Amino acid sequence: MEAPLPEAALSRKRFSLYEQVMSNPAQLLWLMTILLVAGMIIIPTAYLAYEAMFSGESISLAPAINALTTSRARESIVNTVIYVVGVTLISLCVGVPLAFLVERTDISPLAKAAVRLTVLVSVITPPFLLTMAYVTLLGPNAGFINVALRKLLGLRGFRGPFNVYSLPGVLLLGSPRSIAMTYLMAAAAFERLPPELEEVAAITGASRARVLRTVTLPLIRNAIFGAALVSVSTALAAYGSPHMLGYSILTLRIREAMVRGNFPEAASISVVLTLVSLVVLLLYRRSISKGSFATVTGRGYRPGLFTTGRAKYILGFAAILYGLLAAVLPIGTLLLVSFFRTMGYGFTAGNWTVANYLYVFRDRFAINAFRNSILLSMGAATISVLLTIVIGYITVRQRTRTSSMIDYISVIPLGISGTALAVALIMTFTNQPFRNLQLYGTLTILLVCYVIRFYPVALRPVQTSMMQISSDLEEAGRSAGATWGGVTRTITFPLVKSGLTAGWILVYLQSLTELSASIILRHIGTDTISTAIMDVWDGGGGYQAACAMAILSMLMVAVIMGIGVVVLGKSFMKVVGSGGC
Amino acid sequence: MTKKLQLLEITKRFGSFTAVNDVSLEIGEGEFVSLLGPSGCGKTTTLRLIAGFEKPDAGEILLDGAPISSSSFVLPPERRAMGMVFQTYAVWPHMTVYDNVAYGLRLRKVPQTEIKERVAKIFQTVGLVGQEAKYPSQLSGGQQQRVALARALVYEPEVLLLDEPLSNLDAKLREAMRFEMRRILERTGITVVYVTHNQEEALVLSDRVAVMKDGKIVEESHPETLYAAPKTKFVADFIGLANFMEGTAEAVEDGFLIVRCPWGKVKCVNSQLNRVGDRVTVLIRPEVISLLPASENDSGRDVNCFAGVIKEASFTGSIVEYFVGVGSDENGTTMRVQSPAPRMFSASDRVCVSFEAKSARVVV
Repeated sequence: MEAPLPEAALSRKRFSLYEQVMSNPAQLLWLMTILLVAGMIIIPTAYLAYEAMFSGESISLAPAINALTTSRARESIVNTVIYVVGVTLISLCVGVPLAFLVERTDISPLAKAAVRLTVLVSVITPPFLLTMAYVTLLGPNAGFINVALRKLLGLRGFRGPFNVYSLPGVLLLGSPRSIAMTYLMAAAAFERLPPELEEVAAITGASRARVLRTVTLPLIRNAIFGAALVSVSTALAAYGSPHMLGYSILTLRIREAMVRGNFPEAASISVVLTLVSLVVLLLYRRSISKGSFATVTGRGYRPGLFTTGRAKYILGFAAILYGLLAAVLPIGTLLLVSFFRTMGYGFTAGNWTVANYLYVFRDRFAINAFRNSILLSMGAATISVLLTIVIGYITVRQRTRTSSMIDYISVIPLGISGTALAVALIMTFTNQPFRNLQLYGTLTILLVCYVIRFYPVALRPVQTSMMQISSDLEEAGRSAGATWGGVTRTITFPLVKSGLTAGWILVYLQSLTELSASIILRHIGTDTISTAIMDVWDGGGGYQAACAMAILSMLMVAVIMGIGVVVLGKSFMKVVGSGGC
Repeated sequence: MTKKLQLLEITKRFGSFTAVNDVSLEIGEGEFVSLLGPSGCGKTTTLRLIAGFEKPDAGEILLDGAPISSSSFVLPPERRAMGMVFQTYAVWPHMTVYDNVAYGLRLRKVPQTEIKERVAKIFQTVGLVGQEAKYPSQLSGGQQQRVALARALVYEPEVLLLDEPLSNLDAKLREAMRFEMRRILERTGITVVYVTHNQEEALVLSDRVAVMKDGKIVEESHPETLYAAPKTKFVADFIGLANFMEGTAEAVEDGFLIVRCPWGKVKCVNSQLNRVGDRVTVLIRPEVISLLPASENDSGRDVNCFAGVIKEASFTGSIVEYFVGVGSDENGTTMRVQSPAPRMFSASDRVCVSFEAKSARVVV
């Protein structure tokens, strides 16, 4: 016979998942965030893999293997390897010595400032704009420098001496952003390195070269390795600059397959590219989690152990030369060309006009592109910040295994190339069930893409600012007599404000000049600034109009940067610097 | 004692800030000299000038009589035959303990077998045997400190520079290392310049202490002299605890000075050779003062004997700390007194504060 249940047991009845979740709304938010963050990566990747492996009725690797073994694909693979290795080597050979010069030697403050500024410019300037500038300068026939040199040296013929459409040209123009990021990582490592470690080696009797070899370099080895991986990852995902120079790497091959309508080929190459990128990302995460040896010390001043002596001016000049080549020359060229009447007349009196800007302001295609980019960037920035607030809260405040998983997933987009993500999104939104949303060809698909690509960029500043507010700070406010609302308003919000603003601006900056994904996702009426510049450059309006658009977009970037600096002070520059990595 | 190291009118500026101001100091062969002072007094900069990390703006530094630093020439640190221990130890994290210590010997092209012997020997001296293969991150702070010391000593430098080497250790270990370091360094007979802000450390370790303030050496003497007979109020206050009484000299008698203070007369050693009418500051160390019950003060003594009230009495182990209010409310002072335990008085007891004339002296 069944005994009647005691009342206590009744109240201990099992709750269904639904009831459990509903009883704690925060948990619901948490669950949704995990699903969203994971879904944003897993769903498009799954569609991509499906497209790559599904041929007619069966699932196999055959289509992928076929797509990757054509002679043209093989050529692209070889090109990509050359490009990645070349760009990475250039970045290390330029970025690390520059960081050493600035952080560890006594070259002039002017040269140091020039390097720091150039690095910042390189981080925020889309590589394809720099390439545009150098094509007008070093194009084999009409490049201004080539024309001038031929006249100056009395060379015959109509070509050379320089040719930007060459392997050195491709590699050098692919490098500015990687150099800047390598510089930033190496400089941070040098900065963290306590000078005593070098000083004690010197007083023990080691020469400067020996100190460098046995102490300095071994101690920043991890950072250099990390920087190399970031360069590899950036180079793998590069699109704009190689596109302009016609150097067929895998991202170009993907785009070309999409244009031809060969979706399986595009998907196959995208899958391979993504897998390689993820391996690089994994290695990078491991290299940084191993951490650097160095610890931060509270020393106020930084003694220059490495005095440069007579080489001071040569090294200072080298640093300034970097600034000239990576920033002043290309941007100056874009600016001047944007006021040219006719390209052929070059820098001559009477060849100046504002007509190119008027053209841009009157052209409906251009105006529409600017409008689209601004809307998309603001939308992507706002959504990303909202998302990162939740992720930040989960990962910073609730240290559980799930939160570290979210932490991990949310860096994956940084490793995936825009090209591959765009292809994956097209696969997703042209197949069931997402096809019903009818996003293909709309601005919304671009927005989705920007959010997925760039929210991790906002995550770091938001997380950092959230880490500042240990619960003690809030509790101290409460015990001092403030209400929950008061604490939020006077303590919590002021502390996270700068992080949120920095995150918003970073996403906005990245979105504004996004090219590699946009060029695949754009459709009639959904061009963005970058794709419009490319079209105008490729013939829809000429070099001058493209340069005018480039200058306008860089002005917009500069204005936003200016706002960031005004609102957040100097620390914003640091955030921008680290945000690119 | 032959002069090992000479600092001649050294000045070092950082921008508009003068870190070291016209400092002169001579250090003998085998001598242990401490630079003692509060943070920002220029002691570390002085040490870095000796090491060759900074270039003086004026003055000269001589090693064995030969110039090694001046405003026009700085012999690089690696050619000075010195060793240095940093406050942060600066033990190279990417090398094993053995490699850290062997570094200087390898630089000097010492044969492999000899390196092994010498490293083993120094490990025995500093007490690190068995730690050779470890990385610094596996060591405690105290052990890292020993590695730093061994690394600086192993190649037998002529001068050892120590920059607050014990300040990152916890109190107990700091004290143990203090004695251990003296033992190790005495054995080597090396010339040592030691920078610290910890007065006890300086007193325990040094043959001579130079007290610095605002980039200048205020006083320089043997530890005992510096404690017992400081010339300046700054040194008296910085080394040990001090009571100061200000007043006007009323009479000079027999090497002693009678000073009139608002709450009574003080008789003290006329250490600054003051004359009648001078305003002077008298130093009285807390441990030379004795407290008597107020009722016993009927003998009519009016010199070095003040009526006071116990404000606070705290038991700290071997001694009892008293804060005694003397004089009237508007014109009085609080004196610090240390008496051997047990506690004889408690708060608000009336007492008589007295001390001997020979244990009080005038400082400037």
